[in-house]
Amino acid sequence: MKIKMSTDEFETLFKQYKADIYRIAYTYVNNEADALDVVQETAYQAFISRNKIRDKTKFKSWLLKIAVNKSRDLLRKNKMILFDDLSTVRTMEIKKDESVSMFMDDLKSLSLDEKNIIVLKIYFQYTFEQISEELKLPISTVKSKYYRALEKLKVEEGVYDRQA
Amino acid sequence: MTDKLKDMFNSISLPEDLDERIELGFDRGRAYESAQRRRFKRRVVAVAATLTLIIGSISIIGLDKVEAAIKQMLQYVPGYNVLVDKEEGEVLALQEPVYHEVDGIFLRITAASKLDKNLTVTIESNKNLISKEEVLLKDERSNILAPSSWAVAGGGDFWQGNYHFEVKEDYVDYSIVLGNQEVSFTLEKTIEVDDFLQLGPHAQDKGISIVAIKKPMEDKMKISLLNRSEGEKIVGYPFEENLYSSIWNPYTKLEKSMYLIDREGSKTYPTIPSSFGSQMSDFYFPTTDKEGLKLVLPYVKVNYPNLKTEKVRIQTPKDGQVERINKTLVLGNIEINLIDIRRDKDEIIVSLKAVSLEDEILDDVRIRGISGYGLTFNEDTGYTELFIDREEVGNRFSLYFESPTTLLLGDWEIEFD
Repeated sequence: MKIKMSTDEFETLFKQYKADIYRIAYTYVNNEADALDVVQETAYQAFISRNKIRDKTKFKSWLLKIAVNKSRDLLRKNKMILFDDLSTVRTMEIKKDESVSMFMDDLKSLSLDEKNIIVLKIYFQYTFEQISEELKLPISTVKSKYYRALEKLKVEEGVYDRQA
Repeated sequence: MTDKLKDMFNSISLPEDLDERIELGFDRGRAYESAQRRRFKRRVVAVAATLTLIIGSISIIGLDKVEAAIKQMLQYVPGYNVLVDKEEGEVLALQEPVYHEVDGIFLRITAASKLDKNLTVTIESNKNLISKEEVLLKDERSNILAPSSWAVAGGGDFWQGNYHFEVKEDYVDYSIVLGNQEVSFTLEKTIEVDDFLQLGPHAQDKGISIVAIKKPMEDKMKISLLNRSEGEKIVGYPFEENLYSSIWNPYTKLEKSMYLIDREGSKTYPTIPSSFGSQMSDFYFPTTDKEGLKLVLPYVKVNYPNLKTEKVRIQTPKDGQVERINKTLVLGNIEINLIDIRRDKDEIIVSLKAVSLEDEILDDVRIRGISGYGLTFNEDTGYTELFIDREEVGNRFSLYFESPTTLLLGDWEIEFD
């Protein structure tokens, strides 16, 4: 049975997960302007689909899945976009901690599969088996891609070791 | 390890305008729902130049209706104020663009046109739309009107909108009011021509005529395109970012964009068009005018709004199961083969294969029977995959396709001299 969710309730819930949505988007698109576009698209899509939710406990994963899909849509679309003067209007101007900046740079080196796996692992708390089913990849491939991604992100080497 | 990684992701700082962009998304959702409730008037006319290709959001209220009406009713060339079809009555158009700026906030009226009591104004601005201030129209007698429909495209610090007003009197002087800004503009009668092809150099192929009007500018060339067709509805010109055909036909070799070619064989491709997606489209080429220029359009985008396939009833498989469908649905010159359906937990995936003609390639199609879906091309299987939420469809559902948009390849080469 569908749940009738008020607009206010929906908006409040949405904003609880805004950081996750933005960071998922950033993981895929690797720049602030595109990530914000994804967030905006996610807000729109979720808003008009809010009455289709049947189980509030699944709200977060439903929302994050929209963000993932919108991120992939944008990646696909950007492959076909010629013009660059609007897409590069805003770049990261905020001065960041160097390690954070390095981490964000390293995110760019991840392949789409690796990004998928990392996002499913971090934001959806999927097991390797679930990721394997989700992405239609053998578990061994998922694991190797995951560890390769960690390597690229230099997690093991402690490059970004810092106080949380 | 996961906690550490999560911690690293949490170090990605959130931009200041995150909340603002979320609100824009919600606003667009509200506008969509409001549009769903609104009954559109059938006779909505007169649109000026439309910019829809801006990265960011597009909120649409009635734009498709406006464009459809235009396509059927008149051929108006924005910027030139030329009207081809005069059967529908006198059309007025913007005398000249107007620019107004206060404290860094600009408002530009780029186009306007009026037929009978229907006035459409295209404006650009960097004013923050979140403040929800309405764009209003003021006539010669200071009557204030709110728009009856509008379409806004844009993101960040720039947006453009088409606003449609139903005016009461036939004036030529109006003002647009936005917040504390009031910008006046004047309309004038359009020039009329009897024959569409009188407008300029043209090419004809496959029942489609395209006229190109060249206007050299300081450091670039503006080319306005107009078309007429015997049957199909032309919905776009060759411009790469508007293509979706890679989802259906990723391996098709195709020159994706129109180009200008000079006598030496050097090609110049268009940059951002100022209007796009209708019969009146302006394109800018980063080149100066020279003799012997030729415009080449490898294809046009056409839409068949009345084509529809039969409905197919599909049983939702159990988790992990794959069921063959093996059904071919015909959409004019295009065939869509439903290969199989599989279920992966809460996701239903239907494998599809579009079969196009050599000179007509499927670009987009409306998928009906389901309200939400995703589409992607699976390189491993060679099929286009339709993703549907299990909750969306229940145990059985119907699926059909309608209103395909195709890339019709043809010989549209327009010589300017």
